[in-house]
Amino acid sequence: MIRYFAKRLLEAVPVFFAIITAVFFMVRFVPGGPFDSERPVPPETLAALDEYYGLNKPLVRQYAAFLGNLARGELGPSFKYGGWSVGEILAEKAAVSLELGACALAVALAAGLALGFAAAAFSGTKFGGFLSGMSLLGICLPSFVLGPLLIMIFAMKLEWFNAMGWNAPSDIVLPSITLAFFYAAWIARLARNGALDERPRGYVRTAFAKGASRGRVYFVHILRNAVQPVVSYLGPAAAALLTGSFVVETIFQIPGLGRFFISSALDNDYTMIMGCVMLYSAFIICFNLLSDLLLAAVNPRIAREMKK
Amino acid sequence: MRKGSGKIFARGIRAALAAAFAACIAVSATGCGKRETPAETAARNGILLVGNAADPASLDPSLATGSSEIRILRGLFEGLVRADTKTLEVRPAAAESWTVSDDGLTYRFKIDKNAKWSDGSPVSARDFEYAWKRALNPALGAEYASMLHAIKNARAYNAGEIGDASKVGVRAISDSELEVELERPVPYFESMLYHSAFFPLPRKTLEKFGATDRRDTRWTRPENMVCNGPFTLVKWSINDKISLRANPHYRARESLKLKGADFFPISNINTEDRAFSAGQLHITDSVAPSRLPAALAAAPQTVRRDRWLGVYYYLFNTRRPPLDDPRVRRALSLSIDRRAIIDSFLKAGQDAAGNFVPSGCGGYVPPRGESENIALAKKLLAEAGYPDGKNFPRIRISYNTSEQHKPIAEAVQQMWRKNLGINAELFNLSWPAYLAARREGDFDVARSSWVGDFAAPENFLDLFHSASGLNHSGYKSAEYDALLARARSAKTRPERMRLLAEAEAKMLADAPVMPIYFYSRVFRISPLVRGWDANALDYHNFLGVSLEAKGGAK
Repeated sequence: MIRYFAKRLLEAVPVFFAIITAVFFMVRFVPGGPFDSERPVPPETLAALDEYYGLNKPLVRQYAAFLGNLARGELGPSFKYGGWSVGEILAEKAAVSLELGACALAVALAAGLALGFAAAAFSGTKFGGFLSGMSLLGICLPSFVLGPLLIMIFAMKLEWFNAMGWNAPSDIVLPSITLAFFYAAWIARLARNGALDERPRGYVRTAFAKGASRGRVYFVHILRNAVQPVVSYLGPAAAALLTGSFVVETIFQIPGLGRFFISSALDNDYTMIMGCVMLYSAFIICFNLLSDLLLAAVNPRIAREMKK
Repeated sequence: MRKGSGKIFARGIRAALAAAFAACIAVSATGCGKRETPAETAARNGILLVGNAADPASLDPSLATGSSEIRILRGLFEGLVRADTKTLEVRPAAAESWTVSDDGLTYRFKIDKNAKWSDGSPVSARDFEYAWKRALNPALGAEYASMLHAIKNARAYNAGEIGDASKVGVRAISDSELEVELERPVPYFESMLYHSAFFPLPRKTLEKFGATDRRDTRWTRPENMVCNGPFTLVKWSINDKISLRANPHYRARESLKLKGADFFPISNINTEDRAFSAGQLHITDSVAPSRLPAALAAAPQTVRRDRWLGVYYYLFNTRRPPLDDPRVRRALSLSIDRRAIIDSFLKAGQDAAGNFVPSGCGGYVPPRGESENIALAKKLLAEAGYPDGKNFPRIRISYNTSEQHKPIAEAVQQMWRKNLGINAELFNLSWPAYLAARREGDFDVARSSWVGDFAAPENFLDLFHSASGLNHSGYKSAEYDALLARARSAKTRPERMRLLAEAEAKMLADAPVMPIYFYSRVFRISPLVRGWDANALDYHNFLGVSLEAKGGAK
């Protein structure tokens, strides 16, 4: 098993470097530079800025310098935020995104699994149809509609929560629901289909024949097998949730990572773009591995495969 | 893998379900009921909550360029003078008095003895000399250094033509006396002095955090910053908020009624609007035009529309045919209905711009501007060889991505087609690509705007001087340049204003630019805020602003 993961990790290294190399050169071919502004900057000033940030060197040397810094664990200064280093900003914002993402992931898992299994247990009935419809709605309803809707009801009408910000502990509630909604709906569909696939199996029929209640059959007997598609979906879902969402962070004014993925590209903040891309790639690689690990935990057959 | 792990996993999920359910119940139980809004709480505590469209790129006064930076810096630092927030007249600040030589070239400022840095040390004339020379140091690459070019040898030193900073015309004669020599008389020099580019800097602090010609040192962080304004910096969290609190060492602390101000960098206009409606902000940065009618209907007392020293315009590339013909440019400018554009897309009753210099420029009377005159436009176009738009080459309107620019460009496109038979295509660019295209003259017609840094017509008219780095239209007129030069050496203010108006009239006749509307600052403000004065520069130094500490109004 350890060998399997070591192999997977080693395979990820060239992929990771291919990604950062491609992005490094792509951002520098985008028209305009990081220091363009409305006011004309005299050529001498621009030259001083390029010199200061090492942008006047040939691209290959810039790339070498970037790799050298990376080896020392340095991501360099942000071009946009004077006095801040990219590493510092990403670390501060990652804490926020991790907190919000973990909360959203818990909500998505809890709500998704409950809804999915209930929909499977009641499939064929009107209630089951209603539950399936709910999850379809969740997939279709974009967060830029849901977020403002929740704010209107719970912040502006009922005044239970703040409309924006990240100060009070309750500020996590509306954004994590908004963020979780789509994933909950998707997990519900995966769980429902997984459960329905298991239902005709012998062990399920036996359990029913022995007089086990519907709840016990679904949430004890079937759960472990039916949850596998959900587990393999968890890797990319967790990577996406934990790195934050531009839309949700913008709607709720949350100081997370998600906004930097967009804003750094718009600002031509080269060092920040690199930091974001590396972070996201690392998350994807790690969480895909982690979901494989979980899969092995619920399915001994997969675990045996990995040992080979 | 052990056999029981699957069961543990299942049990874990069940526990999570139960916990999530319990959490939902708990939150809804404790969160119930109406409460004091954050804006009311903050008002009780004397903290002003301000919507600030963007995060500051820098809080170093020499490096800050945008309005969201400068708004915060006016709370943190104070220059030699400040402006009256109602009239924009110059008032003493860190300098208690000053004299001007008869030739208008030499200024002597006497520093106020009470002026202190936030660490308690006195503000010295040397802090100004240091700050200005640092900004001009070519190695620093300060984008706003050109604000200081009125000072003798400043431009040459900034451009690296002379290497000796001591030749720059700013000198501390003693700790309490600053002498400034200008390159040539600048009639509006005093009103430039309250701009953030002229703020002093705490030399010791800057040097503690690295060479002073380095851009990204940590001296601007809350734990390090030393400043001389009404507030000090206590928190800077990107995309979250910036908090300022009253500076106990501030020179005029008795005129400061606020205890602090929090700035929220809310980039999304709808998020900001919801935050205001839910009582989380006292003042917003703006109002979405689409939300304006509803806001005016529901709470008109919360909507402010202050005239602002800015103009929105289309620039013609005068180097490219057919736009190299002034008749064509004027025809284009005469054929649009500015009022209709304002009423359809801006909705805040902005002033239509027939000329280029906005009102509010200290007694300047602009020449009569262009307004819609289709008959004349058609005549001019025919004279230029394109009767009814025949054979008129396809031209391109370049604009940067924005919800506002696109509909206006579409409207202009329609008006030109309908009124003149001219086809224009729209070309959307990202902000950096747009700036690069404009700088390199790679456009036909480019959307542009200009907001004044100080209240003088020169701030606008210099844009079309043939030697200006901002003259993207490529307009060159010896007559225009000469009129500006004469205005500069004019003996009296009325004479200067008359010459400037003459220059603007000449420029409008040549039409390198098609002004569309003058800016207004359209924003929402809580009735709890007192003394947030309207002025053309959107200049607020927080003195005299207060908050009413009672609930109810939201």
